[in-house]
Amino acid sequence: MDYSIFFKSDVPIDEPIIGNWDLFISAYVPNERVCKVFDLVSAKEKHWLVFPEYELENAAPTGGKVFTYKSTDEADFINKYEEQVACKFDEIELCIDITGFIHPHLMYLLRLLHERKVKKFDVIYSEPGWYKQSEKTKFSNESVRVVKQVLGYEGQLTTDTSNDLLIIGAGYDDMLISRVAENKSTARKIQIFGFPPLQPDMYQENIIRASRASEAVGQPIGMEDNNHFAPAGDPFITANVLSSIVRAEGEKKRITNLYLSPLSTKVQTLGFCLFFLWECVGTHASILYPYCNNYPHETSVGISRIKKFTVVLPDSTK
Amino acid sequence: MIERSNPFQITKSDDFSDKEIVEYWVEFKGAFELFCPSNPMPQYILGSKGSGKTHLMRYYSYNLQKIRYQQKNKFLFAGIVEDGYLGVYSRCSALNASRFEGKGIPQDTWNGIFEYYMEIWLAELMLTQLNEVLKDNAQYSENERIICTEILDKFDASFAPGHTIADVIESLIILRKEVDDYVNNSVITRNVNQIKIRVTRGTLIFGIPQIFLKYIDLKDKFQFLFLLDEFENYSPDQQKYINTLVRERQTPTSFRIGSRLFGIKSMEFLGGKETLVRGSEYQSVVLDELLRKDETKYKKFALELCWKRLKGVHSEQDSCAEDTLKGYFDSSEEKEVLDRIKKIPSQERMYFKNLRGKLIKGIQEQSIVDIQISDIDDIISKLFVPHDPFLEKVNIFLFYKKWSTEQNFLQSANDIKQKYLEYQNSLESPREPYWDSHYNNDLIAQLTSDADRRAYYCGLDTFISMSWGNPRCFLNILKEIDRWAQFYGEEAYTQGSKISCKVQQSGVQDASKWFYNDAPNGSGEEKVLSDCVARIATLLRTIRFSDKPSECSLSSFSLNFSIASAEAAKIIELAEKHSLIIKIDRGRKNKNSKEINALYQINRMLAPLWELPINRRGTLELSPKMVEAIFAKNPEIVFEKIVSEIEEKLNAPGFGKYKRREATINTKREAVAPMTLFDQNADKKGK
Repeated sequence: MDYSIFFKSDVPIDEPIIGNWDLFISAYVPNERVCKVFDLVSAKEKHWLVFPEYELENAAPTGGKVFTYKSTDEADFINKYEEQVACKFDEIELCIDITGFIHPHLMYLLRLLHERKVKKFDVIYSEPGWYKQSEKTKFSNESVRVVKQVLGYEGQLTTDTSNDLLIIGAGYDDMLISRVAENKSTARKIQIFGFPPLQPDMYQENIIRASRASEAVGQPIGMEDNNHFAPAGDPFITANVLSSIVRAEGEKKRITNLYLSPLSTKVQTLGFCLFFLWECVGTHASILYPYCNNYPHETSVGISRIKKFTVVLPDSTK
Repeated sequence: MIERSNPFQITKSDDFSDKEIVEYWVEFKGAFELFCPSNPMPQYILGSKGSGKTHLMRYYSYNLQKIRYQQKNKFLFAGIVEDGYLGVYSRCSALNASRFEGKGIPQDTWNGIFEYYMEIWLAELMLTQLNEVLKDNAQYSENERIICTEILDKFDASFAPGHTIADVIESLIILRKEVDDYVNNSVITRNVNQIKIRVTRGTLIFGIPQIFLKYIDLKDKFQFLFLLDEFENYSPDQQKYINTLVRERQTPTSFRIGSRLFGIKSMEFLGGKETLVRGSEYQSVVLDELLRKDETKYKKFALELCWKRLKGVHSEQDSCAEDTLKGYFDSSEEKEVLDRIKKIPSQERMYFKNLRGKLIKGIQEQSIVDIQISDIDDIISKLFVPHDPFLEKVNIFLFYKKWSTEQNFLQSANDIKQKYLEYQNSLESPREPYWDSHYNNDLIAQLTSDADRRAYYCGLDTFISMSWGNPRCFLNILKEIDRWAQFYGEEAYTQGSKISCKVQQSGVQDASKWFYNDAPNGSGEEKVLSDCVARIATLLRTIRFSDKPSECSLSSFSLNFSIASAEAAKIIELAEKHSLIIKIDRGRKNKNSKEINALYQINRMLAPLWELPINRRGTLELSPKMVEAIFAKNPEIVFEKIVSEIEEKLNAPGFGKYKRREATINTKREAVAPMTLFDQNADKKGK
């Protein structure tokens, strides 16, 4: 599967974003990256999802319908949303701004769209100008509640765990990396770093933070076999990189259980999901995520650029 | 930067291959015998992260048994029979047990499915191993078919007749995959009704060993030992299920269950609210506690660990020679610090500058009334010992002590000088110190700080002591040191080479930081725990580096749990379970009530971050107010106030008295509750 054939483009920052969309979905955070895009997009209907993990009880987002539901279970939340929307996703033109999403919710939504036989939809992502506290920026709070498989991405298992492989999309949060690595402590670990990064300095910031997890990962950054790179802002190349890593590792020795953990940008997370949905459903592959009770919503300043991706999903009936 | 492999790079047994587990195995005499794999009594092996649970459990697993037989040229079957057990090892994390929760399905339904899945999982593992062990066994060949029939008869399902164990395993895989599919899709379908539970609890786990024992001539008392590691990954309900298996255990099956200290969520079993009875239904052992108990044995164990790593890199090491290993680490830091201070004239030395400043301040604030600023030089000069900065520090320490109780400065300085001269001229060997030598480490730490350096933690003995029963901590210190040695281009672990104190310090600091960040993980209260530990450590440091420390070698604290709030008590317990603080069994008598208070020492791994001692002598008795200020969740303001009160009390010029006098005059000011933190007799007792 070559994911690079999928369509992607840059969208001008200050111009209306026009598509033939029936529904536009965005996750609300009081941040320019999300709110400005919401205003710029034109669609027949626009929906805000307000996740309880952001603790925005008093938020009153404007410009579209607002969906709130007090459940931190990604499937509960998204299923409830689907129930209330009461439309068939496979019969409409859909656009999702993934910028403000929480990782597991984004992943579950993609899985649900796949189940609902959606073939194609657009995704928007606005890249940050810079992160508020450089390499010290926190994207999750300091307490991980549990590390578990993301709903909808739970794979088959084998009792043989002798060649389990964990591929981590290494982001800024070293604690998240550590926790995932410890959860699958016996698995061989491969880290994918965002390169090219969203901004030039973000690669170094990323490496500084990720290196703090080296004790849990078991290998220092720099061990060639265990470090790979994929653009922080391109889901399709990320999916290609994943695909080639898994193929190469499988050729060396049969992978017993494969674990994927996207802890970096939402765009890379989208790439992980695409790879899973196209190549891993029904296999010994799972996606793992370290769940926190809440997540900070103010992490970045400004918009450097806005990207649009056209996502194509495989046929779920096969 | 030198590029070479770091012999201590791998600190976790998870990163070792089975062969390496055998290669790096070190016996801990007297302790690991407790594990005894042929003992039918189930055991819970508890321990902090890095205490060696996984290494121990993997060592007794089938894969490792196999390697040991290969090394001894033994046949597999003969080896297993001789060992008297088959170690079926499984990590609880491998099941991704959180799948069996939520998704809009009642928990009772999930519990049943989990039990069924676990039954098949363990049966599959056990049969895979047995199939390998018995493949050339004549009795097995003869009876394989009937064994298969009997196993399949245990299911509430009809299977195609299985002629071989491989067929049975295949049937189990199909059943398991069926469950996987329904469980994984249930998030969309919200339904698991299609899953048919075809065996009841224990049918396979206890039944299969009994079938094999019936047809294969294994030794008397042969045991099928399930080694279930990482128990902390199970929910309370899932743990209850395992506890029930432990309780309902049937010969020849038994269990060893490995868990982090904080990982036991329930000791209850299914069908009631009762808990397993320790002693009669199970035993438990806390590994790091065991390793800590006998320091001599632990030291020997740690040295052996170190040597085994170096053996692979430096072939000249043919035995574990303690002196050789210790010799790889420079220990001249103390001398260097003293030499550095000696180059400065006494009156210019930092501690005398500080003393001068405090005397001036006291005179200006009128807390000192019996001397003039012009007397200061004379007083200070009596405390000079230019050739020995340590004794100067001793003299200052004695001077501050006298200052805190009386204000006869000239007389005090003269008395101290007299004592020094008597000591200097004493013909005794060794000379009787004229100060409480229990404070020596604290005085050296203060001297080091005066020389603008951090307190030092150098030498192999220090690293062993810091790791305090946790082999991973020990290896991690050595790993970080080697990393810095490479960075600074220093040769290490070769004849004549010595790793500098600078490198050791950097490595120790990094290992310490790692521990501080890592230990709270998994608590769900990571930040709260880190903050609490930082507060208690800050308090201990404030006292250690004060002019008149109330206790020597202060790294521990005591408290009365009965007057602590539920919130504080919970956090203390959590900090203990995550090994940030270590409970000292015997406790400590409360100075007022004479009740026995709980006694804790801050984990020695954390000592370098706050320059605390790694040994323990004095104890800080926490008042209820302090317990809340340190261990409640958001008490920063109260805590800072407590720290500043202690600073006032233990430092010149006021030693707490001046402020208190002021407080009684200004009645509008908030009254400061008298603190009963310090042992007023500490100085007398320490001697």
